[in-house]
Amino acid sequence: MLPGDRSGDAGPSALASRSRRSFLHLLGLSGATAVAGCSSSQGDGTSDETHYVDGTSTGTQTLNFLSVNDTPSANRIQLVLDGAYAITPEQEIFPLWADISTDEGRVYTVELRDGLEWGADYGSMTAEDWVYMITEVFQADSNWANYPTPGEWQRAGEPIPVEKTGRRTFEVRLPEPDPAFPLRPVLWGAFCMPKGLIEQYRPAEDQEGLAQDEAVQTLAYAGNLGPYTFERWERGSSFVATRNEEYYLREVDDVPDEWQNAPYFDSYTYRVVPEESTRLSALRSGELTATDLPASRVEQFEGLDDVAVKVFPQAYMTSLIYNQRANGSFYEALRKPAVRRALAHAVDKRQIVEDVRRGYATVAHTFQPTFSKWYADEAVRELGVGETYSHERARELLRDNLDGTPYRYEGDRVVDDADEPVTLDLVFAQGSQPIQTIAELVAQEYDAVGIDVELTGKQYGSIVEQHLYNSWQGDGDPPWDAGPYNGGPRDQSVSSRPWDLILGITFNTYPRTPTSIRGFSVRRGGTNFYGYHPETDFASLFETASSTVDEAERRAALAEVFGALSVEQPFNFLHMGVEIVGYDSAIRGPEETFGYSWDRNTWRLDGA
Amino acid sequence: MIGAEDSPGTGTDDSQPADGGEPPSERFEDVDWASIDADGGGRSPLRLAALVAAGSYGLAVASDRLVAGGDPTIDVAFGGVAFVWDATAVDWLFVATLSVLVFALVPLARNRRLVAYYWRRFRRHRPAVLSLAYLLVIFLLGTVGTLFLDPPALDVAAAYQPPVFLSVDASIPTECVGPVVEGRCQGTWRYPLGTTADGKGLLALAIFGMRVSMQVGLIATLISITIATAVGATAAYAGGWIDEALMRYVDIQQTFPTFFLFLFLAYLYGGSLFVLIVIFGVTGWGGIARIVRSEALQRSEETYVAAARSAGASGPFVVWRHVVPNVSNSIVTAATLNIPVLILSEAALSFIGLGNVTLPSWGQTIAAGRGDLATAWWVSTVPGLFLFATILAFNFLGDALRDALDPRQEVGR
Amino acid sequence: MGLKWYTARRVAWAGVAAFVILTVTFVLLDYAPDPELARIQFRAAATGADAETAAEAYAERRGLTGPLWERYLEYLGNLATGDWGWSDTRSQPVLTAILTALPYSLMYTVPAVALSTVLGIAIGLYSAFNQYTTTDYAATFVAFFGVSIPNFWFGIVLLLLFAVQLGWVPVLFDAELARTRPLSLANARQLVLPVFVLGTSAIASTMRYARAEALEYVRAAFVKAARAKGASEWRILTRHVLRPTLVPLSTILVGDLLGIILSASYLVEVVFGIPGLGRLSLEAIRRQDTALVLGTTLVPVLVAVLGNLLQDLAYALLDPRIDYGDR
Repeated sequence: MLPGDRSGDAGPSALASRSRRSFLHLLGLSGATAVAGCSSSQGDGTSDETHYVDGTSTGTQTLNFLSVNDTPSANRIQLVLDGAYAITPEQEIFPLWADISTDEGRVYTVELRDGLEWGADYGSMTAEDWVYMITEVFQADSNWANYPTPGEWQRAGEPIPVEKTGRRTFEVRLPEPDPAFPLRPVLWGAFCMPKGLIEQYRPAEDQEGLAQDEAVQTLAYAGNLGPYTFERWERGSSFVATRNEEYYLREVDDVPDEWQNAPYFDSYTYRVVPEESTRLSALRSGELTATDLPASRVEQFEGLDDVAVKVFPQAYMTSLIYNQRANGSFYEALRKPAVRRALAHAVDKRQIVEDVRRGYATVAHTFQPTFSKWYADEAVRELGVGETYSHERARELLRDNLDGTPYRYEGDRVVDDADEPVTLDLVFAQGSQPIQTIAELVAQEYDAVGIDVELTGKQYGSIVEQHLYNSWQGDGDPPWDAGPYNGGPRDQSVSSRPWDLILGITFNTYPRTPTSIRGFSVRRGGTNFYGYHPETDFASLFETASSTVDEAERRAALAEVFGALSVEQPFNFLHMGVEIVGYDSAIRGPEETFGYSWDRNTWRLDGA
Repeated sequence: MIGAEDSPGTGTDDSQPADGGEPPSERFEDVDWASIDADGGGRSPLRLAALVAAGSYGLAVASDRLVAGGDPTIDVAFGGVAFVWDATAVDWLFVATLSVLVFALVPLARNRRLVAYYWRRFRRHRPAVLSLAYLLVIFLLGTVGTLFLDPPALDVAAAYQPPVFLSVDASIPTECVGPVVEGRCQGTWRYPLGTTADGKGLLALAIFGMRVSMQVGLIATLISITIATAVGATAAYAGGWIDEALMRYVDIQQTFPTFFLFLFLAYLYGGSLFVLIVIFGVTGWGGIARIVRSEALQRSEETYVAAARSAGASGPFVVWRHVVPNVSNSIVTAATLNIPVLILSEAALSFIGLGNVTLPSWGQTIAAGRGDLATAWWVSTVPGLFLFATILAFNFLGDALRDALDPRQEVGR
Repeated sequence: MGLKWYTARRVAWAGVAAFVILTVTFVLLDYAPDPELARIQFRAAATGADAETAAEAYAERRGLTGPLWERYLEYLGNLATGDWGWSDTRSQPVLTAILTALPYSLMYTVPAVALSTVLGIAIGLYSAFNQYTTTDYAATFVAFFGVSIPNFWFGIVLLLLFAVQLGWVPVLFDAELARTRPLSLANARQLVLPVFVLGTSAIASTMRYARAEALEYVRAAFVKAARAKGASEWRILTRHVLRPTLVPLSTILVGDLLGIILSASYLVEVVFGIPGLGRLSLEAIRRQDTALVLGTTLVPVLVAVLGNLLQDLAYALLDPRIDYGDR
C-alpha cells in the first residue's frame, strides 16, 4: 500500500474498475493567491496569472498511458490529453474528441471532431489512428504493449470488431447488444496515440522502446488535444502543465461557453507530499489549492475562511466479508444466509458512520449506493440500523439458525462441537485509522453476541496473497476455475491462510453500469473470493439487465438483484465512502455530485 | 591507552568532593559471575536457583504452548480483582529476559562493598539518578501495573477528549464526556490524559506503551548483547580467519538495510511485536560486537589470560571466565545506549505504517495521532513526552554508567 | 605490501560485500508479495477479464518474466557495463533517479551534519571540562534533546508552528527552486527546518564521542603538565584536548553522515516532502521496483566502503605508527 493512499481505506482505489474512474477523486484547482510560497520561485512577478496546485500523496509512475494502471498517473495524463468523451453526473455523454452514437445498442459509431491535431508532426487525429490503436495495441494478440486491461476490448475472448467508415468515423460492432457500452470504461475517457508513433515499435513488438520514447515520456504528441501542455515532471516531487493556447475546444461551437475559454488557469501542478499532516498544513498556509481531507479534520477546516470543504459521493463500499470457503473456522454457519442476517443485526452501521466516519459516509444495505439511478429503495431490506440493530435479536436469530451447524450457544457464548468457544479471525488492512477502529468496533459487537474475535492487521498485498487468492486443494483438476480470486468450488479451493472476516478491501459498486458487480455475486464470479453461493439466480438477472434496451425491464431486473443481495447478505454491507476535498475558497465549479470532476476544466477562480 | 595515567593517588584535580572513596581492589569487571560456584562444585545456591528457574520456565512455556492452547495462562481472582494473563511469545521472552537480568544482578548485589563503591560514583551524576528512578517507575508500571489494568478499550463516542483541566473546541470530540463550557469541551478525570481518535484513554495507552517499550528495548538488547559478546569475544580470542570471517560478516550486516528486511518479514509474518523484537535483536548487534572485540583484544594480551592459557585452560573456558567478564563494563554501557535506539526505531517503523497497528505502543499512538496535532495535540504529544523522557533517561543513564564503570576515569576521583 | 595490498584487499572485499547484499535483496524482493500486481488482478477479475492475462502483461512490463537466476545474471551483466537498469515506477534510468535525488539529500544532510558536529564537539568538550556540574547537565540535555524526540513528530510540530502559524518558512519543499537556485535565500529558508530536525537528532553521538575522548585527555599527563606550566584553560582546551580529539572524530563523522543519509533521513524527507535518497529507496521498496531497490541498496554499500577506506587511508597517512602489513 502506498503511504497515505488517498482517503484511507487501504486498497479502495485498487479495486476501481479502472483508473479513469477512480481518478475522479483526486482533483483540485488553485488560484493565484494559492501559490504565494511557490510563485516566488518563478520570479516573473505577473500577479494576474492563476495557478492551481493540487496536493497528492503519491506521484505518477509513467506518462505512457499504455502502462497506466494507477490513479495518479491517469490524473496527470488527463490534463494533456482530453480523451474520447466525458460522462456528466446525469450520465449523459459529453463529446470531447469524439461523439458516440448507436441505434439499437449493438453497433456504435464514433465520430471524431474536426481540427484535432497531434503534436510532434504527426498530423491530424483520424479514425485511422484509432482503429490502428485498437486493433494493433489494445487487441493485439500477443499484447506486445502489455496493455493492462486488454479484456475490455474483447467479448467472450474474441476481439470486438472495429472498422473505419470514414476519415473521422469508425464503428465498434459488439456481438451482443449492450446499451451501457458507452458508460463502460472502454471508450469513455480512452486515449490514443498517433499511428505514426506506434508504427515505429509495432513490427518489433518493442514495448520497452515505446515506453522510453521521448515523445511518450513527455506527451509531446499531445498537440492541441488537451487543455494543458506538458511542462515538466520531477519524479517524486511535482508535475507541471501549462495552459494550452491551441486547445481544440476553443474552436468548437457546440459546447457551452465556459468550455470555449477553458481552462482558466495558467498552470496546473500536482505536488507530491507524502505526509498527510504536511499537506493539510500547506492547504492552510495557501501553498496548496486543493487536497483531500480526512473526516476528522473537516470541522476544523470548515472554520477557516480561505478553505472551502466539499464532500463528494463515491462508489466505493466498505464491507465486512465473511469467509464461506472451507478454511474458515465458522464457515458452516456463515454459509447460511440466516446466520449472515443474524450477524448483520449485531453491528451498528449508524455508529460506524456517525462516530468513526464522523458523519462522512452513508449507510449501505446492498451493493449499490442510494444515489445510483438503479437503486431500488422498496426492494432493499435494511439491517443493522434502528430496530434491526439489536444484540438481543441477533442472539435470537443466531440461536435459531445455528441448528445443523457444529455450533451452538453454551450459556451466552457460541461454542463449537468440542465445546470450545468460537473465535473468529478478523483480518483488516493496515494504513487506515478508521478501518482499524471499525475492526475493533466489530470485535466489540460480536463479543456482545457471544463470539470472540481476534484482530490482525496486515498490509494490503499480504491480505490479497494470503487470504484472497485461493486455489484448488483437491485431487486432480478443479471442475472450473475463475482466476486467482476464485480457484474453484468453495469446499476445495481455499486461501493459503485461514480467515473468517476481512475488513478494508473496498469494493467498487459501479453505479453507472451495475451489471459489473456480477463477478462479486455469482458462484463462479472472478472476484468471489469469499465463496458465496447465491440462492437467487443472479446470472440470468444480470443477463437480462445487461442486454435489454428497455430501461424499465432493466430497472426491474436490477431491483431484484439489489433486493436479493440485501436479503442474502453475501457480506455485511457497511457503508459507502465519500471523498472530502478542501479547496481554496475562491474556487468555483466543483459540484457535490458523483463524478464531479468531469468538467474540472471549466472551474475557475472567483474574480479571475 | 594513550596518556591514561596509571599511577594511582597522584590526582591533582581536587575540585571534586572526595566521596569517591578508596577505589576497592575489585572492580566491576572483576565481579566473577561464576565465582560463587567455584568451590561448591556446581552446587552453589545461586546456580541451583538458576537451574530451578530455568527448569520451571521451560515447563511453564511448554505447558502454555502445548497444554493450555488458547486458554489464558493464568486466570485467578483474588479480592474481587480478576487476574487473567494469557501469555504471548513475547511475554515469555520477556520473562526470560527479566530472569537473566535478575541472575546477572545477584552476584553484583552480594558484593556490598563494590555496590556501594559504584553507587557513590554513579550518584554524582544527579540527572542519571533521576533517570534511574524514572525508568524504574516506568518499568514497574509497565510490567506489574499492566497486569492489573484493563487494556485501553475502544469507545468511539468518546474520541478526542482533552486531558483533565484542559479544554478544546466542542466540535473536536465526537461527544464531550465532560461539561461543555462556552462551546469548549472540558477534560474529565475519566480520561486524565485525554483520548485518541478511537476513544481510547491515553493514560492506559501510555502505561501499556511502557510495557511494549520495555519489551522491545530489553529483550532485543539481551539478544543483541548475547550474540555480540559471543561473536566479539570469539573473534578476538580466536583471531586469524575466524576473526576475519566474523568481522566481515558484521560489515555486511551493518550495511544491509534492516528496514527492508523488516518490511519483507512484515509482509510474510505480519509485522508482529515478536517479529520486530527478533529482527532488532538478531540484526542489531554489529556495533556492540565490534566494541567487545576491540576491548577483548586488549584484554587477551594481558598476563592473566596468558597465565590461564599456559595453565592448560581450554579456549572457550578462557573466553568465558577471563575475557568476557573483563569486557562486561563496555557491554553494560553499550546495552544501555542500545535500548533507546530500539525504542525510537519502533516509533519510526510505526510512522511509515509498518508494525502492528493494534499494538498499544507509544510509537503507534504517536504515529496514529500525528495528523491531529493541529486539533487534538494531546493524542500524539502525551505518548511523545513519555517516549522523549524515556529515551532521555536511558541516554543519561548510559553516560553515567560509562563514567562510573570506566576504569580509566578512576584516577583522582 | 603494506598500504597498497591493504587497499586492494579492502576494495575486493567491498565487491564481495556488495554482491552478497545485492543477491539477498534480489531474492527477497522476488518472494515478497506485490500489492500492485494484486490490484491489477483484482481489477481485471472484477471487470470480468482474465486475471492471468493482466498479470502476464504486468510481469512483462516490469521485466519479471523468466527464472530468477536468469534475471539476476542479466542484471549483474548490465551492472558490470554501467547500466543500473530502468526504474519502472519512475520511468527513468535508475542512475538518473539516484543522481537526481542525491543533491536534494546532500542539501540538508551536509548542513545538518556540520551543525551537529560543531555543536556536538562544543558540548562534548564543555561537558568534559565541567563534569558533574549543573551546566554540564544542561548542556548534555541540549545534546540529548534531539535524539530523544521522534523526528517525525518534531518535524510536524515545527511545520505547524513556523510555517502555518508564523509563516516564516514555506510548508512545502520546492524541488524546482532547490534545483535551479540552490544557494538562494529562499532555498535556505525551506531547508532550515529539515536541517534543524536532523541536525539536533545527530548531536548526541558526536557529543558523546567528543566527551569520552576529551575526558581521557583532560586528565592526561601532558594536559596536567601544560596546566602546571600555567597554560590558560582555553589554550589547554584548543591545543591539548581538541586537537587529539579531532583525529578519531573523523571516524564517527563518516559513520554519522552515512547513517543519517541512509536511515534517519527518510522520516525527515517524508515529513518535509523532500525528494531525496531516503524517499527514493522507501518508495522503491514499497512499489517493488526491483532495479531501483537494488540501485538504492548499492549506494550505501559503495559509500560505506569508500568512506571506510578513505578513513583508513587517512589514518595511515596521519599516523605512521599504524601498520597494515600484518592485518
